[in-house]
Amino acid sequence: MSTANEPAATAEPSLNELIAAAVAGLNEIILGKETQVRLCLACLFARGHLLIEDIPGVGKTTLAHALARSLGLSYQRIQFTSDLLPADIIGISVFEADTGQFRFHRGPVFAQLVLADEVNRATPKAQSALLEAMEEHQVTADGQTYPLTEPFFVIATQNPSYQVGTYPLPESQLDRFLMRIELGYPAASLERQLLLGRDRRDLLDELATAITPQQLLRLQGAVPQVHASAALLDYVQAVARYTRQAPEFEAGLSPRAVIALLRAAQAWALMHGHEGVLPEDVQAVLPSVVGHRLAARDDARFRDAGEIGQHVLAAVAVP
Amino acid sequence: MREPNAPSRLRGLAWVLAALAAAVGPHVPHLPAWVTLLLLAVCAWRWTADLRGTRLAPLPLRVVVVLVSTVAIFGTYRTLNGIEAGTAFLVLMAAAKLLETRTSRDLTVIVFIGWFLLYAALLREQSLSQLPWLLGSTFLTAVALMRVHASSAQAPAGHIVRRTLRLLLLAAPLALLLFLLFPRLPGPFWGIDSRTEARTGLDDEMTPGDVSDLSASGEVAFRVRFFGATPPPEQRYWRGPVLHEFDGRSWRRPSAQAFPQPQVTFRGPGIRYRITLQPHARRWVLALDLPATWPEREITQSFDLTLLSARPINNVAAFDLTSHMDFTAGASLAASMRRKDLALPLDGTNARSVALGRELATRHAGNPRAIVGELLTMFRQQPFVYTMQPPLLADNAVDEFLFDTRKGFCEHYASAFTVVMRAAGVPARVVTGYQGGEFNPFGGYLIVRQSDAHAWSEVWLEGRGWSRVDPTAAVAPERIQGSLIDAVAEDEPVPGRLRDASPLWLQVELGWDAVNDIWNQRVVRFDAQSQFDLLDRLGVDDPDWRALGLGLAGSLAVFFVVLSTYLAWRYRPPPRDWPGRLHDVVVARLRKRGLTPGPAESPVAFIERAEQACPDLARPLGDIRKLYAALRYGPSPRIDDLQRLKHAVNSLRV
Repeated sequence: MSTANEPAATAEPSLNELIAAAVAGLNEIILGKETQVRLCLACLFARGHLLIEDIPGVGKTTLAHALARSLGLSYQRIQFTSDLLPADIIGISVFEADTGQFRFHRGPVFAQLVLADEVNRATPKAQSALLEAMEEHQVTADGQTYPLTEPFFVIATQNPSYQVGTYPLPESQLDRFLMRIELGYPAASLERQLLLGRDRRDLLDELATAITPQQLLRLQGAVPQVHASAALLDYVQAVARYTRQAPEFEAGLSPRAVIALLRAAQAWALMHGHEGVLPEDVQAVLPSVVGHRLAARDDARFRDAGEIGQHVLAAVAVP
Repeated sequence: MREPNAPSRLRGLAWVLAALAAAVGPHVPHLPAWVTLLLLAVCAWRWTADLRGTRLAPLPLRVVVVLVSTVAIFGTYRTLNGIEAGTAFLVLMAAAKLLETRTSRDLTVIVFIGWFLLYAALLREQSLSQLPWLLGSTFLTAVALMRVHASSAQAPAGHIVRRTLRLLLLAAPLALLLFLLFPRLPGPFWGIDSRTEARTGLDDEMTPGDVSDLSASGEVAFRVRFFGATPPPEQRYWRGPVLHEFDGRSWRRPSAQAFPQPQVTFRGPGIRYRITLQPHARRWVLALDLPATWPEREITQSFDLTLLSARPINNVAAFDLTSHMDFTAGASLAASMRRKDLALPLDGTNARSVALGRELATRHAGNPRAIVGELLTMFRQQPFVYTMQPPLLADNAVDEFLFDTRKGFCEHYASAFTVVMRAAGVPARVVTGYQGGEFNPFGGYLIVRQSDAHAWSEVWLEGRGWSRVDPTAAVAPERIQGSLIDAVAEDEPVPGRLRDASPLWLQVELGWDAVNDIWNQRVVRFDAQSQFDLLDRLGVDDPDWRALGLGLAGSLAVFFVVLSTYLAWRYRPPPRDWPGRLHDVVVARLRKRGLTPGPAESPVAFIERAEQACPDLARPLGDIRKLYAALRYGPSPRIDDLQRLKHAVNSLRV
């Protein structure tokens, strides 16, 4: 924690400027994925965790790394493999001969931004170690509880479940992620830029910090303060009611999911300088927030989260 | 996470299985036992498979099941058509479908099979007594469908039952309208006509024992409503098939029927009545002896004066007839007819009876009336017994009855009488039908049951034509004046002993029969003519098919307008607040520019789009958008913002 008194005369940059700078920086690294970048930031501001589901090589790791640099967060990457143990994530107590005591060696989870790569390749045991840390913001080893650093943000990436050798996350654990996004292939012209341009890793090194961790905490504190009017809450509840009644879904949105939807919409409204949350803000985040929470009864009905979102939105009138 | 391809618990499976079982219920007595057992086994198997999560049948097994059951049905019925084979086939296909029921769509298919089976039960029989079961099963099937498609697995059953009930009640007026006005096609539906199933009733052959067997049944044969006074019991002879050919034991209708139609003259007043026949799968229409008028389009009369319907009577059928008690039928007798009705077997059976006939002829010098009189006197004076349980008769049935046992039912008397008459040279024939009937005071009509089945003779007399002679009346006059129960000994198996002993039970039974009669007249027999009558009563002059179609279309339109108005009112949107109303004004104005909000487009997004589409309106629209957003979604809406929004909207010029 910073104890230094900052000079009061220094004009604090407005939240909008901070966000605009962060978005601009990230867009230089991740080409043509502005929506995903914004969703990613909104997820972070709403204190949620992010799940990226896509095939390998579309820039999941680069996005996570760029985010860490842009926000000045300490960064750790955990590659999930089928032999990963919980201790490989949270750390391990080692006997030190000179002191004659056990000392806890902190694992990679003790970072502000943790990239859990290919989370569905590890066994459920290892997965649950990470998911517990995500939920509690602390880990327990040998009866001792260690708080994690704040802000704490997990980006997990997942191969599509049709790829072989995967342990897909159960629905209850998918619910721990505020949003799930897909990156997808870049447009042809942007892919040409990638081919012609410099290596992304070199660009990463040059990426300036746009938001400090202190500013990030302030932003996170501001999100729940964004006004949500009665009309807007009506809309959110109407969406929830629809998913619970619609025959095309196995089960509707849980209350936790509805809160997540509101928080994400608030973060989105904050990022876009809206005084209060607008229905558009809900609509913008809805596919990413509900896509992994609503299981279609007929598997072939929806191709992706976007279609689920469109289906729900088209069915619910904006009040 | 469930394994891929592993079946999960299917929502509503138990309900669908129960509904299917209920729908098969009415068919069980008509299905081969193995079909029912197979379906039950598959239901039980599917249920346990659902509980345990075992895999469903693989495709090759399902194909084999379908092929084997098709062959088995074909082997049983020699066809896949018709109601019997069709029903059995449908039940087997429902069982086969259960083998591959994975999704709610599969369950929906089974639900529809269930409804179709219930419908098929109506093709078979339309009696009132099965109605509660059919209605209950229809409801259960609807509940099952609702359960399959319920939005949540946790929805309580009571809630779904109430919802289904509500939906069905909303649909009830529609069903009533379609029942009243949907054009009735003349003729049997789908040509389902050729049913071989045995029905209780008269046959075109009579062997000693047939009528007494029939008399052991208390089933209703037909009901009659007289449009005037009801004739007394001893005159109520309901004429059915006439039997001419005798082989020494059994009587039959002639196979070739090329005989001339006899001349009939009627005297005295006619008796008008409507007869409502229960299905008996034969063509004849019972009529009071002797019918004079009948609906010419549906009924013809045979050479021996039996009324024949154009088609076998497989459904409840009603006819308006007129009969005369006083008539002369066949003043002259064609030679071919005389030969037919004098013929006796040439093999020398019943020799004693034939000898008796010849003796009577010689004694009375061929005077038919005297011959008839003497034989009836013989029946009356000698110790003949009227019984439902006569001793068994061997080869010379008539001889044994007439000279040895002397115990018989009406067919014995009619048969013996006719044989002796023929031997005496008097043309004679056996008439089967019913005699008597019970008056139902609740419905004001006559019930004639199978236990009223009867057989008598007709002899041809010079100058009088064919005349009815009932030898039973000579032996047991109580049978003709009262009913069977009065005529036979107390320990004989007459149906209805219980109701005879208990007046209360008799009331209940007659009341129930009256309800059945209303059901038959008003519902089952509701045909095109009844529809035209209904329109006529509603004030349509000279109704025809066109009026019927228009009436149907019109009342359907009224029904749907009323229903949708009600639903629109029931689910009306909440009243709009001021920003909402003002936004509606903006939407209406922008429509002139060809802009309409999309289905999920929020007001703010719509106005933003309009700003880009109409740059000239960008400024006022921008103001409206900001004010709207602030009022609707902002943290602290101010009252003067609303005033400004009103002003901005009112001054918007498109």
